[in-house]
Amino acid sequence: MKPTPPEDRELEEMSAEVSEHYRAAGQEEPPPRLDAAVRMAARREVAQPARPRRNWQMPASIAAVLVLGVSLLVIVRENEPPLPSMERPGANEPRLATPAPPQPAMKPQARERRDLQRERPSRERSARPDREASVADELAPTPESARANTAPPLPQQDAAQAKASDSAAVPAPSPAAPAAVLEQKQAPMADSRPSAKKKSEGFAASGSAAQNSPREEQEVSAQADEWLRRIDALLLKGEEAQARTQLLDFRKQYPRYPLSPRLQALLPQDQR
Amino acid sequence: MVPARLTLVTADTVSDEKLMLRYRDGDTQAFEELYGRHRGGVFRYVLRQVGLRSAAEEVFQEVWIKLISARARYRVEARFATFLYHVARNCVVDHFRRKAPLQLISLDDDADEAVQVAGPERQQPERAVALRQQAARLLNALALLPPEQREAFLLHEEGGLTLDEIASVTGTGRETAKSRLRYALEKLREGVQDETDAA
Repeated sequence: MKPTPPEDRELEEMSAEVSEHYRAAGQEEPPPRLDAAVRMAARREVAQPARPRRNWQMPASIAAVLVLGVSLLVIVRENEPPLPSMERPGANEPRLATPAPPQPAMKPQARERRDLQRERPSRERSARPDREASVADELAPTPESARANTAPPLPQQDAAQAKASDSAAVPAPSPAAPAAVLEQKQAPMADSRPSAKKKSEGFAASGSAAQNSPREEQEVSAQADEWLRRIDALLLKGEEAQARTQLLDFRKQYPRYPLSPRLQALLPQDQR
Repeated sequence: MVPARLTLVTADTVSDEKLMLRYRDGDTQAFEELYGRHRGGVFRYVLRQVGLRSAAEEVFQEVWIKLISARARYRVEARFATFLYHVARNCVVDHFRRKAPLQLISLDDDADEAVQVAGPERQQPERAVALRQQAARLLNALALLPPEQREAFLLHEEGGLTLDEIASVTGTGRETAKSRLRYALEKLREGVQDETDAA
């Protein structure tokens, strides 16, 4: 047992002495009516049915946590940048893969960049297979464009001859035609005289045509049609050689422009 | 340092804590016994602190009503007396917050509200008068004590709390409680002795 310190012992003695006087001073008690009231309250407390516990804190806290969590989730999802693998295939790719909406003509620098991307080595694509696979599918050439890309270039001599004859006989087609339009007219070959719709589709099928505005396409189409009408006129006059020269020149400038069967017959097989 | 007034808990006696636990579980008889043990001490503790009997009765009832209301949440974390006098102290503090500051105990016989010192009747009238006067002086000295010292004395005397328990109830350290109790006892003893010597 822990011994009592001397100070505490002294305190005990003092307390005992004072306590004796204090007890003699009085033994006041609460009045009986107060005793009865307290006892009644104690019995009433036990007798009455248990009050429903204030258990609102738990549901309230759960609800608050849920609201906060859902709000945070929504905010985070809204602000979260899309993952590269979640991107729509070709969303950030060059527009050459999306044929539909007509857009302004590409600048030469943009065209070069597009060409570089088109000719991207396969080993580079294999570095990012997940994304590039889908992009490559879109970049895969259509049969017409593939044929156009593999078509052999015109012989240099023929080109020079055509240019000479063109400048001599027929006024040159609008040299102010947009370079992008002149460079790529990748339209499907038509069996018959192409309608305006087919021409439009033919322009739209090519990459650069997709970059042109409808107005430019119409102008180019009108120029080409005008040229073809002149070639037709030459044929009707019986000037087949000049017509062929003009047609070769035409084909040089509009490599994919659809031709009528009669004009196609003038061209070599690979240029039809 | 157990006051003589404190009920001794023997092996046969159910402890206050067990009684309170039984009352928590619905045994009103246990509360009766518990109330009988502490009603006087709590009433005197409140009465000496508050001063007026009517106010003391009000606070006393409030103490027990709070205890009754807290029965469902009662856990044995300390001695029951410590818990009870903690509640009583809070009620006294609330009383002084609601009303005027401490009103000193009046020893004027004409005052109806004053504490009536009910000294035991003695066979010898002179002796009884002397004891009554001595008790009155003690109570007067008690009323003149600083509130903290009076509180420490009453918690020790009426509640039977140890120094550690007094420190716990009053929110102070043990040494502070001890110092307050010591000063209180010295002043009370001096108050009684001075008057006796003077007489």
